[in-house]
Amino acid sequence: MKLELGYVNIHDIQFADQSKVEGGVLYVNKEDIKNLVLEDENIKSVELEIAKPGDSIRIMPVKDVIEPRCKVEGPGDIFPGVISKVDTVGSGKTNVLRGSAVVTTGKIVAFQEGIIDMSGEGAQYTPFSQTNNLVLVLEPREGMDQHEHEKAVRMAGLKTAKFLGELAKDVTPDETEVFETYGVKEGMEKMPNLPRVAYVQMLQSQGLMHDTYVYGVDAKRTLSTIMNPTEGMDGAIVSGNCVSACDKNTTYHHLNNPVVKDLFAQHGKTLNFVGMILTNENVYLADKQRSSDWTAKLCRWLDLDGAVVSQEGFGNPDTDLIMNCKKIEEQGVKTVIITDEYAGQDGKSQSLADADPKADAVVTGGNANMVIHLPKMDKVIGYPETANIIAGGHEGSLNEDGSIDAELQVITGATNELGFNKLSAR
Amino acid sequence: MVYYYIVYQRLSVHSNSINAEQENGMAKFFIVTNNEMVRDKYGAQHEVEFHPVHYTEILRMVRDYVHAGHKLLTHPLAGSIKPNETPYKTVFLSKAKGSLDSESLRIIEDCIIACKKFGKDRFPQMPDDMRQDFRTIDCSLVDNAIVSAVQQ
Amino acid sequence: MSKIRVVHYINQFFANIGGEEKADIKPELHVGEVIGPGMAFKAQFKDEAEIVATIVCGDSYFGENTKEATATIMEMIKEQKPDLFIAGPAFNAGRYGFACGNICKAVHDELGIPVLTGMYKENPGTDYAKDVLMVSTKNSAAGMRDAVGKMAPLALKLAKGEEIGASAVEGYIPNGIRKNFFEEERGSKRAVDMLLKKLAGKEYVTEYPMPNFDRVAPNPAVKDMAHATIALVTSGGIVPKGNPDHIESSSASHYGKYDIEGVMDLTSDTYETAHGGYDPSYANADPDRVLPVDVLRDLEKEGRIGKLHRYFYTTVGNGTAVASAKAFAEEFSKELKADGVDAVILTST
Repeated sequence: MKLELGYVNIHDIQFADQSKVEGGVLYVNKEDIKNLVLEDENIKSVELEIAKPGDSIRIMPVKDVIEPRCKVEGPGDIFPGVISKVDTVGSGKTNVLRGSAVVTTGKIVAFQEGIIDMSGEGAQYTPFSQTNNLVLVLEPREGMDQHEHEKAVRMAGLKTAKFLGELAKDVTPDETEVFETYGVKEGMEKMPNLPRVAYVQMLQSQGLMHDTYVYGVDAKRTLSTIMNPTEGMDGAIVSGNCVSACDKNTTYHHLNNPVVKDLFAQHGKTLNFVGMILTNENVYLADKQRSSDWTAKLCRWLDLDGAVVSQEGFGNPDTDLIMNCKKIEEQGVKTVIITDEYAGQDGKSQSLADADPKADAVVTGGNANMVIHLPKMDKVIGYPETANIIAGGHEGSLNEDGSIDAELQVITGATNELGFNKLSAR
Repeated sequence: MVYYYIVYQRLSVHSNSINAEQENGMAKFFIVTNNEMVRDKYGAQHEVEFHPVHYTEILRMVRDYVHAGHKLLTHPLAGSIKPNETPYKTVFLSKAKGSLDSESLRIIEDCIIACKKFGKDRFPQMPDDMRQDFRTIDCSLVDNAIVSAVQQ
Repeated sequence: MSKIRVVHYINQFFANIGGEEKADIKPELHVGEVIGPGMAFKAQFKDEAEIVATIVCGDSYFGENTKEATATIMEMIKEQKPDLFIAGPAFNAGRYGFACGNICKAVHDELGIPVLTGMYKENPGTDYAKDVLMVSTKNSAAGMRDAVGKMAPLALKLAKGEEIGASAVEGYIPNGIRKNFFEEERGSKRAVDMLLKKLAGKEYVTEYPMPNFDRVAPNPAVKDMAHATIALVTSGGIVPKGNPDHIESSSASHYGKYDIEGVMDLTSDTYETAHGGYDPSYANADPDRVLPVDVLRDLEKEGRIGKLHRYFYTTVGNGTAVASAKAFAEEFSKELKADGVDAVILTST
């Protein structure tokens, strides 16, 4: 399967009379977006805000971040099975509004973390301080339960991103990049001497606010399966996960999966990137056993030499991670796992809730319990009252000057377990 | 020979009882929770042990059950909300009691250790709406576990 | 601002006194002298810090007289009222590394001033890495320049009370305290690079070493207990009354081997515990509670076991370094095997 990504670089975002992409600027007509979002009767109102790199702006609580993309050539459309038909994606051409993002905020539950600071100390920990963001502040219809509310917010973000993406359908990209994977036999013939490597991606799949969708299917009701890495670039995986802000994978992360990118960078040179195995992180232990058995079986069946395994979330998924690692290693396939740590504020506690000596090659996204100081911002987009909750209690504080002392875990994407960031720990 | 036979008999009685339950479609699990919503939603159809105690106390009870030979069926740290944030915890255990399941013990012990590092509860004075949200999220995890539990 | 006062500890070899033949020299205090590696530190410290005294001690002397040597050296250090204490670097010299770790820990615990040493990652002295900050050095003195280059700035930071970064950044041996820092490459790139190294059989370094698993696979069961010789071994500190070999109440440096030929029961008149990590009253009232000689004698009489081995081995597990415990066991296991022991009952507290 072969996909060409066309990067349309966006260096600014502005509200305007007409929505368009021109000269690297994303112009947004507020009414276009409002009309689109309010098609869903579960959304009572939406406010639109712009947040650019360097602005003294705090966005909270962030639910999802999505990169605008659009299908230029080839079958299917962005976010298949969710807002487009379920056709297989991942081939042809796709345009990417690189440097821009849609950020959704919604107060689905009283306690919700997820901070993006566009400047200051906190900005260095979140990749979304570097994107030109269109923020949707979404108010639900009254009396809606949390499940419906979460879904409405998720859909509003995806629809907006698709709409913005389509503005660049006819724009000539600043740069293009081609990604291609092969069938098992073809790949072996093309790269007979290179180690066969796959990427095992664990998807959050525990329940309300802990879900991920693959072609629209709730990941917790799936068996481990195989996917072409390029399918993810067209939005085959969508996040419905809005807890544990620091190590949840937003839809943006799924679209720009860094493990996929970095394996492709070595594809045909030092390794043969065979494909992707998707597996889940259920709460039921027998499900974990089944999924990890299945993953290990697929690794063997693909005749892999090595695999990178990534995680999502805290606690429960540590057990899936270790099960996957152990069983894949037992198949004679070498693994590297990516995780993050909860080592306590003093860094002295055991970092993971599970462990095994076979997990001897670990990459870490850092200690999420580390305390950071977030200075006051001139403007807060979203639901500022959640700051009291995020910083409340014993573990952090909302200071009189509007600054916040809190653990790194409140920041969106700070200790990402796909290895999106440079942050690490020793 | 006779000696072995007796051992076999004992084992088979034990495993027969499990099989019988499976065939009758009877639940093979029970639920330990401090979440009223779980009790109210599932108490009628399933065996739900409700204890209005702290999160960590639920984990301690679960560990005692594991020591007594019950198997863990759900992960004690299900849900990415941190142990010092949500007050609610629900865990599924096997009704059948066998010899100590070392894997269950390892998991529950690791989870208790993992809990300790989070320190004091962040919201000792939790507002009602927040409490209700945490109940709902915990209950949603249970909804999913139930689907798996009745399939097994 | 006055200069930071530093006391430096080195062994006989780095003091240019001699090698193994001089390893038994007692601690010497050289006030106002900068010796051997101290010169390199002096050059790096510039005007910020000053080595006010150098202490030299033979490695064998320290190893064989740890308690006395530590006490003497501590007195010497106190006199100098230092702001900072540096030992080594010890590179791969095991006894030197042990001495550096030991003295640093004592200085840190008793004087509360910052301490720093340096050694090779496989030096047994790294047992102290959890208590004492130690820079990771090369395995021979050829790495002196590199070692001092990392130690001197870190020592100054410590003395000034500045925050110490992650081990990978500052160059110290991981001490179990996890610290965040920004890597050169993002995580996914590091993962792919690590996998390529692992696939090629090359050396790679995990970013998070799993907690230490020293799981021992059980040996096959003893088939014929009625004719087996069973030995007792304990880390519970049971010793003949008076603790004749002076096994330390914590961080034991050795173990004891005692003859129990004809001893049918351990009593409070004849045995006691040397362990300082638990309430000793019940163990002292009846030492069989920790080392069950009485029960094994019963089993011997009943013919359930062949016999109880003539000697028991004992040490104190209280804070004793894992490497020391391993070394003890490696030594006495050989004796047990040579004596035809079939199985060991290992008791703790």
